[in-house]
Amino acid sequence: MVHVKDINMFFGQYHALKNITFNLNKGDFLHIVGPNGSGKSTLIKILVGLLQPQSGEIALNTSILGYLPQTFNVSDHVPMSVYEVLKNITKNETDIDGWLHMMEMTDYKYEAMQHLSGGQKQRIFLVRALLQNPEILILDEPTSALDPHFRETFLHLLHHLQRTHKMTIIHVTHDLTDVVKSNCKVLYIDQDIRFFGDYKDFQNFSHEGHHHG
Amino acid sequence: MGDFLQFAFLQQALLIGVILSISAALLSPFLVLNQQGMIAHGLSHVSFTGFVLGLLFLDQPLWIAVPFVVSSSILIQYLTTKVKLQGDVSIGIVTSIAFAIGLILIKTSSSFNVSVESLLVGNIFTLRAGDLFLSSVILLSVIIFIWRYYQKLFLMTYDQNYAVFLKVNVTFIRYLLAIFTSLFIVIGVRSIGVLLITSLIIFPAAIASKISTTFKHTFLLGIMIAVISSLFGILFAHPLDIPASASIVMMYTLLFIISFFIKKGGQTS
Repeated sequence: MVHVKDINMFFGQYHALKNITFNLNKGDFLHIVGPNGSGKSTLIKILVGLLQPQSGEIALNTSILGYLPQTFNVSDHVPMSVYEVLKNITKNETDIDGWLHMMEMTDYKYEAMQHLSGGQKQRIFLVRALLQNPEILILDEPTSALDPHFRETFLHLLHHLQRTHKMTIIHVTHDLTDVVKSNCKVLYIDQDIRFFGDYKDFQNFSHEGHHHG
Repeated sequence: MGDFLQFAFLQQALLIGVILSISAALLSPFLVLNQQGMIAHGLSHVSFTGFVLGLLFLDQPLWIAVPFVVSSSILIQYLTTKVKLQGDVSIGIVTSIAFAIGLILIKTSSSFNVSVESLLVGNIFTLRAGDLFLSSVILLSVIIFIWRYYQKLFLMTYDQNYAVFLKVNVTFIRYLLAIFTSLFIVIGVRSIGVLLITSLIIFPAAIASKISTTFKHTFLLGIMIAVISSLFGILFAHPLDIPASASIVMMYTLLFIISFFIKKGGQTS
């Protein structure tokens, strides 16, 4: 489903990503972890087409991507409602209502975005991503603005999507406590790949002290 | 007041003023809320030189002014998107060069006999039927453009990166927006003047966005504000013998001040 081979990214002289290579099958759940500045968001931006690497290949067996960016370049002074944001993506009211219900945001359907908390906005932008019925869902630190209760719910939701929709999920996080499920893969990068494999093997890797500080 | 409303020149001025204000209000949210409002300011200064060139060489200065301003708007976008200059730097560079050329031409040309003040301030009361036609064409063109690209323009306004992710041709639409802005500017400058034409672009969204909580309401309220300001601005300008452009801006200012006392729906203090 996802084939990444020898991705190299430079910002001027700075070699941000070095020979990044990994493959994912349909329905895989991948956590991308690493310290701040390790290139996680850069890799994500390359996967979704916002950045072009200097070398390497990417093959995604679908054009239907869902994307939840890390920091929203969303202007705070643009008045807009939740409904306008979501209707901009799809005219399907059933889909909008369905995903809002799943995100526990039904009551906010016509609310102004400016009135929402950071976590609520993040849920709406996740709905925005899911409304495209993606085969691959890419999330860049989605739990950073969420309260602890919804953080756990959110992660369970992602695994639910993986199981029921056979969605391939790529989840960037700097918090290893997000990596809780054994049936997922982990990609640990710090400019280059330090680990790629199953979660159970990553547990051994991280216990050996190869963890970010 | 009812007596002078029967004068044809005033009726025409009101009609042109409303048409131009609506055109500007339609463009306003996509420029102002996307922090692109200053492009209108820059292009107004470019239009000064466009008209100077046009008046020096032709009887119909628009034949030179229009392509000159449109080309400048394209150049500004090129400097921003391809050369990667910051937007305000691109605007400043093109504006300064163009305006300087205009001033040099005025100073060095013995055949230039048009009042500079008339270019800077405009005079909506001396326009002709041809100006009404051109203003109407601009309004219709802007309506078609906004109608065709509304969803993409909205997305680009609030989240340009996501628009790029969704493969929206952001660069192309930005060029179109710049071109339509330049067309509005060059047609509107003769009514409102180089110095104040930008206000028609800036004020509608600036005021409406303080009161509205949805983009659609911002859009529609901006149009309403524009119509009210242009109507009352022109109506007061004539008996007071002040430039209509300045009178319109004072109406916008009054509404802008009033907007500070109106809370957005549902917002607590």
